[in-house]
Amino acid sequence: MHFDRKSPKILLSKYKGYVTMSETRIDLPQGTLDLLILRSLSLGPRHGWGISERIQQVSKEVLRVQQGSLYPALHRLERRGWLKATWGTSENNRRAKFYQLTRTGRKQLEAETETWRKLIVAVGQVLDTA
Amino acid sequence: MFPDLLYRLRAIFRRNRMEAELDEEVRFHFENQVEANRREGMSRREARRRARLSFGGVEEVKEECRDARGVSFLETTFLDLRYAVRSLCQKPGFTAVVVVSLALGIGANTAVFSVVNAILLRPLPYEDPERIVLINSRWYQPPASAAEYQAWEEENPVFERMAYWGGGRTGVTLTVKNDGGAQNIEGRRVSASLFSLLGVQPILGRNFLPDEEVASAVPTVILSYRLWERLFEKDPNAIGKNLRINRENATVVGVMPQGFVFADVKEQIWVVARADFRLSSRGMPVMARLKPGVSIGQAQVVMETLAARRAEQYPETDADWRVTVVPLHDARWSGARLRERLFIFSCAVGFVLLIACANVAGLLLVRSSSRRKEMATRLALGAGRWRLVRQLLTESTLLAVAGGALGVAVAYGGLKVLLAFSPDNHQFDDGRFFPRMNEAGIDGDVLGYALLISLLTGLVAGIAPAFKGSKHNLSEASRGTTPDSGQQRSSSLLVVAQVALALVLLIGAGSMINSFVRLQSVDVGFNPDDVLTFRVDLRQGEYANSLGSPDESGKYSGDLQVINFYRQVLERVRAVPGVESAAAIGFLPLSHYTFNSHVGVDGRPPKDRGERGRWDPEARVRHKVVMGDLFQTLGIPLLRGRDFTAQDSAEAPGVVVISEGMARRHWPDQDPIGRQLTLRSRRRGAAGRPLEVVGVVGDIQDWSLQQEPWAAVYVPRVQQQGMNSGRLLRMSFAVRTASEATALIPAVRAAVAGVDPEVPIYAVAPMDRFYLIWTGESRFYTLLLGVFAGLALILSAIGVYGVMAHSVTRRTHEIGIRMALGAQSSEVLKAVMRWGVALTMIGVALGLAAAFILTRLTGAFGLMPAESIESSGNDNVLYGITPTDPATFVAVAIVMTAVALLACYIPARRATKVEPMIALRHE
Repeated sequence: MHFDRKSPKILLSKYKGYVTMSETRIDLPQGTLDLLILRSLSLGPRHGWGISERIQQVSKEVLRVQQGSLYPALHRLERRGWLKATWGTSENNRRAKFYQLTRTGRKQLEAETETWRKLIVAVGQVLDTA
Repeated sequence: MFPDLLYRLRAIFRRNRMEAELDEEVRFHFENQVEANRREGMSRREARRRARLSFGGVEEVKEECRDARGVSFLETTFLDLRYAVRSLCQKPGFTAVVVVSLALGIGANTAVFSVVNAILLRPLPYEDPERIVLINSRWYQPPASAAEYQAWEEENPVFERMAYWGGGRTGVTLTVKNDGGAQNIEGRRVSASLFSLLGVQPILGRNFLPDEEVASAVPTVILSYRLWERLFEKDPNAIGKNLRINRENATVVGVMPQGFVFADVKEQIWVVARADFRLSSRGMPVMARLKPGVSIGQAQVVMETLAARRAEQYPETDADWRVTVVPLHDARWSGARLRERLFIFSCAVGFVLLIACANVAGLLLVRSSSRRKEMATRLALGAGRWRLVRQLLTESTLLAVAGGALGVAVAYGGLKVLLAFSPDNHQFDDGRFFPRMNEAGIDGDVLGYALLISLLTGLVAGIAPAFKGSKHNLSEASRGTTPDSGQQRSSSLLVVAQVALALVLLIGAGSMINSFVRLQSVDVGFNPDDVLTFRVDLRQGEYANSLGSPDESGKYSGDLQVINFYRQVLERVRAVPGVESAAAIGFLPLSHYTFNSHVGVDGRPPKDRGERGRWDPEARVRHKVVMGDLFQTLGIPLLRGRDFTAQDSAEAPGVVVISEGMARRHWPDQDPIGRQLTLRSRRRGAAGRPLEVVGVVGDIQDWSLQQEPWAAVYVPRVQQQGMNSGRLLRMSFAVRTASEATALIPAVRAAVAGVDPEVPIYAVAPMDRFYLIWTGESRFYTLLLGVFAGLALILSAIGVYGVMAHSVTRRTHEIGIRMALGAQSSEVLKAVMRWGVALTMIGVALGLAAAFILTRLTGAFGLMPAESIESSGNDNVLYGITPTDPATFVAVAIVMTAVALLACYIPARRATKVEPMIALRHE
């Protein structure tokens, strides 16, 4: 099994989350992975694998969420009450844990999306003019 | 918040279920990944390999998820505890040694803490005790005069209530008579406001009322629970009963709750102080309760203003008066000396705990080095370093808490011993030398303290081994026998520290034992065996009233009544069968009371008071007033001249018998017989008439066993009329008996009652009791320090043994090779011992240096005389030796070295018994 003393710590850094983008690893700003997860669940319940597939697919293969970040994030969000987990059957007829947004989770998604948009605009303006 | 809590609770209580779910979830993801890879055309093996790679460490992901659940702290602690219990149970020998070491250390500390808590820390059992203050006037005679008190009470804006009392620190003995006869009871005259100021209500009857302070009223008294029990057998109808107190009728109005203590545990009766008492003099302590929100500082300022105003009004008398306001808690009747001693013993017992800590740390280090493989493997499998440290700390804390639990049992037993051996109070009562010590017990505070020091101990003893123990790496550990130099260095350090600390304690104990032995063999200068003593107090009724000023003819006729009384007592006591001789004296030697005067010789007057009211120390003498055959009764040898005779009457020329030391000081190499001297007491300025020296007797230990005998003069009571008459109303009696002194107590009591049934005898005790009281304190300290030092010695021996035994085990292989190559067992012994000897020597050297510095710093462990030898000659606990007594140092160093070497020798000896073939196969 893969084992490296150093990298897992960065990889698993609790709140940042970590994705690979076109074969290069990048750290996401705090809360971004949470936002991506919430967003990918906005259309309905998914299991962990589905979430990572969804993010990868929607971002046109640019963002790949690492499992090492994904599952701790899911558990954390569940603890906060933004997600609710239920066991169901997957498309290949296997038992899987499905996550869905709760009402607070949905509110959170809206708020975070709004913040994120504002941030993008603001950062964009700075980058364009400065 | 709510889902969060629910989630966590579920995570705790449904742990197994959640683990299974997590496992399933992760596997589901993994298999999806494999399938995805297969779809990209990889072989089955390759697909699995890639999936695993992309996933990272499965266990680590799971661990992260557990962290995200937010309960992993509790959970891991629980796991660690379980693991610790299991691994400690596997090594019962190790566990037992550690737990017992800690139990001894923690137990001793807990016992001492419970005493310190009872004496110093526990809040006083009064209402809002932090608002109660003492008001001291800083001048010759401390507290407030009656006039001052009145002024304070009327004018101050800061105190809610004020109270005062008589009798200073120790209270007074009052003669109390009910139907059962007269007896003397420790008590106090207090203002009517005192108990309501303290906020303590009687359990029966009522508090004093303000108008009871009026002089004409019948005085009222409140009894302690104990006295109520004794006099009235808990009869509720005791309220309203009549008692005779110092020949005056008084009415019982209340009974205080059980365990209520005011200034002194011995006090059992409180009499309302009437105005005539209040106006009698200066010298009353005053207590006050601050108004809510008033600080000590504000009260101080107000009091200073009042004092300044009085100084203006009465410049003659009050100009120099200063007032200080101190919290009652700080004033605690104990004093700095007691605090200092308790501090010393806390330090000594703290040393014991430190040694136990070092001991346990050493054993843990040894253990951790035998667990190197386990730790290295766990590190390699992905456990974080911090995780291992935590695991090891959990283990040491568990050990410490187990030690603490056992330690509480040790403390419980130890406390009983401590109380049983605590020295008697100066009085012949069941009071103790340490006030409130009897209240010491295992209560919530003490348990809390035990838990706290247990946890601390676990941390302190465990921290270094935990960090060292978690540092191994697998490649090193798997090679196995690599000597771990870091671990060895730490063990060595711990051994040295233990030996040094134990040595310091041993030196303390050695000094105490040495001085105790010397104290036991002090020649007191008299023979206390078969002597019965008692006291009589005539400060009551017509006896007291008859004293005072001389009548028209210049005679103290009132005093004659008193003298006659004592004469009759002596006569009747002498007539008791079994009595050989009897005498009366102002204060018996070693009785904790004495009376000093100032002497002028050969016609020169005694020197005046110096600047600060101090006497010229050369001229100070013990002033002994005697009746009867004192020298014969006490067995004080008459060296020259004669004893007093019946001819030395009031009218005859004044005579004096002096001590040998007195003769040597004032008439060296001359015959003192026939010389003249005059005496002047400290309080009453006038010098008496000239006295002729008629005899010289041997020196006696008058004040204490330790103090060098002072010069002493003995004068007949009949020739002392008018001088300090108040003091002479109390006399002590000594009765030499043919056999067991205590057997005569009833007969003697009856004899005195025959003179006056309302005058009881009290403080009845055989004279050798005095001696026990004086050695009791020393015995107590010796016992205490001896036990601590013994513990230290045992603990450090265990420590040395543990580390040495481990070193031998580790070197078994090497020793086997040596022996196989022909080394003699004596050489092996030497090689193994060398290290232990070196460590012991370093420890002993450091310990000696530390003890030397410590004794210098604190002066005989802080037990040296505080301020004035005059007032408290027993201050110096070490007697007859200096704190840095070379003999003690040498003896202690030898004992310590011998024990440490024995602890080295046993494992070393085992090493020589090693069978080479077995040793070579070792590991």
